[in-house]
Amino acid sequence: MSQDRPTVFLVEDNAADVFFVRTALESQGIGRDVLVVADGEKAIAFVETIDADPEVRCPQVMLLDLNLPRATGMDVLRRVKKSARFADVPVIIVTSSDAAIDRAEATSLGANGYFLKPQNLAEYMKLGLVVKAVL
Amino acid sequence: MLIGSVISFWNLRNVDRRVAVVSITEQRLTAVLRVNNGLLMLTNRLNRAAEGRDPGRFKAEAQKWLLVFQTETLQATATLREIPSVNGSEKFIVDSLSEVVQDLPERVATLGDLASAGDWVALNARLANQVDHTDDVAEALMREADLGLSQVRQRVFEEISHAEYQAGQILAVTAILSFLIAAILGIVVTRSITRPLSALGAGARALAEGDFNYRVTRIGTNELANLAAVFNQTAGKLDDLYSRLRASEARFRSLIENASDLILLMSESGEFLYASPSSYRVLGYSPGLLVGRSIREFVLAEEESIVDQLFSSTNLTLNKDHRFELYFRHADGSLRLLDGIVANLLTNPTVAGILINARDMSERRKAEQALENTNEALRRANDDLSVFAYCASHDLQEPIRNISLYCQMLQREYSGRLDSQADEFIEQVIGGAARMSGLVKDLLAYLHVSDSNADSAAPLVPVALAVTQALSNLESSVQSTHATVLYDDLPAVAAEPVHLQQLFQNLISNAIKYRSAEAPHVRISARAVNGYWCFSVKDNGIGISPQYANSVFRLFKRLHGRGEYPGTGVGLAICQKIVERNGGRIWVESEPGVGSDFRFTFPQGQQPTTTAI
Repeated sequence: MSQDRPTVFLVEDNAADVFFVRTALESQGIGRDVLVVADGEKAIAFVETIDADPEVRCPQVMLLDLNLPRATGMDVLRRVKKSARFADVPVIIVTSSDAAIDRAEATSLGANGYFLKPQNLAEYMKLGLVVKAVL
Repeated sequence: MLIGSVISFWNLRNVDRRVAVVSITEQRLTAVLRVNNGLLMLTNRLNRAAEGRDPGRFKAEAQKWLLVFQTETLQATATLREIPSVNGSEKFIVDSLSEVVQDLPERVATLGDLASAGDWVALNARLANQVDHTDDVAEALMREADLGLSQVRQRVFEEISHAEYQAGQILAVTAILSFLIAAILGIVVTRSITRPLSALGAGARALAEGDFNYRVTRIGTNELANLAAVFNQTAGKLDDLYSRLRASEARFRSLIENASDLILLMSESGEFLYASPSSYRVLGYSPGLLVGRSIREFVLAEEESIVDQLFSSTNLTLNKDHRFELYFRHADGSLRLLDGIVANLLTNPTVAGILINARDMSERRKAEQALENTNEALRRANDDLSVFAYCASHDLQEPIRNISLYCQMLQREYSGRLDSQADEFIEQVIGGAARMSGLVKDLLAYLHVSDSNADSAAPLVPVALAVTQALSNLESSVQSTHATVLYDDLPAVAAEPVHLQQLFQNLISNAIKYRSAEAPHVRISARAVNGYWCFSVKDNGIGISPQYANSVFRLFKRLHGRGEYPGTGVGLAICQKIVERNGGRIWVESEPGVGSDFRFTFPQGQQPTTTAI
């Protein structure tokens, strides 16, 4: 991973969504350094690694799905916001849940954005613009 | 008796009067006797003076005794005049005496002359004649007086005898009359007192024996008759009271005898004193098989403590009702769950027992258990449904979305590089995925309405606010179709704001979607009807045929092909669900080619607000 390129930390278990997120990021030229983990526990483990080892580079943005195996997206977000190094990293929720309660909880836990996975490809591609805006 | 007294008084008065007459006659006789004595004395003195043959002395004696005689006679005359006349003889006597007094001085003078002449022979002859004459007069007077006295005495005796006779008659008549009066009084008393009293006594005995129909014959108009009237009145009231009491007793007995509940009267030790006929139906024992036995014979050993507690002195002295549940062994050996109330009526002299009112809850308990099981199953089903809804919203949507996205990717990357049929297939897959996604979303919305609690406890929401928010969501379609949506003053109703918004959004959306050639025109209004707000969402769209007026609210019901109007057929079903969950109803009045008027009601919460466009 290069130091000068933005690093995106994507927590997503669905391979299709990983593909479309990557496509959206690439459409904005920021899809090359994407670190993907497929479950909540691994995401939390990565955050703890960041906290434990200052040598490990901290990502510049985190894209977080809510419906994850082992630990939910909210659990991950909660841990992130307790992290010494990760707390300031912008977190964008990328989910198919349109539930108001999820939006409210994510906001209260400090999420910086809420992107509802669309069914329309063009709409999906707008995620690239959203990520670019927070970098 | 009064007449007898009057007659007796009259007779006595007559006798008294006769006695007075006797007294008067005796006075008169006395007066006459005095004159007679005076005359005899005069005659006697004159005879004695004549014996002396001294003319001087004779004259002197004659004058002296004449004066005395005159004085006596005048006094007697005066006395006679004073005596009341009785029979008229008084006048004769007085006249005779007056005549004697008048004649006597002349005769005495004649005698004096004869004495002076010394003719003593003539004088003695004259004197003898004088004496004879005087005797005649005196005798006449005496005879007269005696006669009067005798007559009067005779009359007195006769009248006394008559009075005695009359008195005897009166006494006899009085005695007879007294007897008759006593007899009549006896009869009257018997009739007026004894008989009514006897009748009253008979009436009292009849009442004592429970004959409240007995009435005493009213005799006369006296106090006893009034008493009889009061007695009859009282007996009538008692009869009425007793009749009502009997009716009431019969009613209550009928209630108990026909009660489906078990009614038992127990002794303090738990023995059956009474059991209602329902005991046979409920427990399988006729009342006769229960009375005298202890309730402990019929309960489970482990539940005897419940019986002990019910009949414990502590509970009984509290004198209040106790509820219990107890298994009772039916005559067929099965156990029946009795739910009842125990009331201590030991101190009530008319009951003197412990009253138990119970019913067989076995079937009901089974039904309750079955209902509880059903409810539990329903709860599990609802939970499953919630899980399904969650899965559908996340897991089910995801593959659909992936299919759609990949197809769009294919379309974007390979459009025109495959043959035209492949492009169409890809298009169809994208369209199908979109419809499936829409269906799932609408179905989730419908389930969300069903799954939520009723909105009756929800706060009042201004309907105009919900309409405004709905219009905000529909802004693009409103603008693109040049739709006009107007609404009047709309009230506030108790509903979840999101449901109210969805309701109006679906209806307005339909009005725009099913528009006619003209620009859509939607009018929303509300009016109060019988405690409800009746809303109207009226459009100028294509309308609905009357035969579909009810079916349009069914889930997934669509009247048009997808080629004409897109949709899932869930929108109006959601509207119906929202309205009905809030205690209202929804219907449509429509005419094809003219427009539709969707109407629905909400219970009134408050007066309309003044919110307007």
